Amino acid sequence: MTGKIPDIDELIGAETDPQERERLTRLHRTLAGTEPFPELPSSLKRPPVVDGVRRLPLAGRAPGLPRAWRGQRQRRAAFAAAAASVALAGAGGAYLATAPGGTGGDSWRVAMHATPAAPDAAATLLVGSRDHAGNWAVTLSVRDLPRLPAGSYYEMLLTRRGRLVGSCGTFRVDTGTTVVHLNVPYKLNESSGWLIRREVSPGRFGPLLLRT
Amino acid sequence: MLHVVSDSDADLLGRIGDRDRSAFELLYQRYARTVYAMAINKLRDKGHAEDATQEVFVAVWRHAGTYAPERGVAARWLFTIARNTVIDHGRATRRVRDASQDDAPEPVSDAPGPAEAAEEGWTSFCVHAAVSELPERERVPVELAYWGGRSQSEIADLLGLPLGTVKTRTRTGLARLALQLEGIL
Repeated sequence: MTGKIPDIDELIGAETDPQERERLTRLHRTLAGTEPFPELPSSLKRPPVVDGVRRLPLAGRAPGLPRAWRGQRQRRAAFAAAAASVALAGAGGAYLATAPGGTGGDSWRVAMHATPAAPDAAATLLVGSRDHAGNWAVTLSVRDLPRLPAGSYYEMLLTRRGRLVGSCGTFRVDTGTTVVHLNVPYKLNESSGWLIRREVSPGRFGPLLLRT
Repeated sequence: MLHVVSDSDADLLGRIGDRDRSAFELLYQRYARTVYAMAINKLRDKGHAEDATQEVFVAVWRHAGTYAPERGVAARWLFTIARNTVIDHGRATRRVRDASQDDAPEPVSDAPGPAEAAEEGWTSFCVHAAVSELPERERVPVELAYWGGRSQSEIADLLGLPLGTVKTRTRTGLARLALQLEGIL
């Protein structure tokens, strides 16, 4: 808690139906008395490796070993570093190749659409092959997103049936078009969706900028 | 939290019990932040909270097969696993710390008893889980209002949105939360 409880009237307005007001006031009291809800640190953005019930090395338990998921953070940084200038393949047309779900040489393209928060931006995703371990090679071509100050990033998220599945990595952009190579270890199918948002400060995110 | 869509928590636990990694990832995305919040609020240390959160989900992976829907909702099962794992982690940390200190007497605590604390923890767990399920456009202003100490005008400035939009989204988010938390409030 921050010690500053918001004013219920400011939040719900003074002209609320009495029954609704009572319900929202109960909620208000509960929220005001609930412990803070910290953002998930980047080290926990992905679940632990549990195949074979193997635990990742944990902080302070294995001297000399990297902190848990540091490798993923480095991979994300590598994604950003891999960005190169290639012409945007065009923001129209959702599925230009095969239907999702295939393996091997199958690939398909997905158009992303700008939200009012980034009206000039556009992007396409080229979903490439999946390796035997289940990693999909995804190439994001994005144009006209603003360049960010040092320490700020864009993040691409995967959803399934409208629910967040996970982060597909962070990246930065140059002026014009930027191409980012991402690795997506999640299942992809017809219900997959994609979102791009900006990290406005560590652990805090701005509105969605692009979505499928 | 009861998810009445096809990927309900109970469905996911059932699939995790069958070693379905995609179900595990989905449950993780749904609850990781809530579990982390519980861990950091109990342990008061980010590093230990991160470790404890990992341990919780490793425990979920290991024990999902023991979940029996007829014995309670899946969220409560997850909450119990999380609470016990976080408490165990705290005890283990204290043992290590105490081993290097003198035998000082235990301070008298005015904290609530175990049953009361568990119930408070369950309410927080449900609130956090419900907030994390809100659409981002509603979640962000609600979080900034209650845990960021920001007024509606400050939130509007911060997000670069009209004040009316922020008020509408906050109100909609609160109404959605009230519906989701019915029976808990």
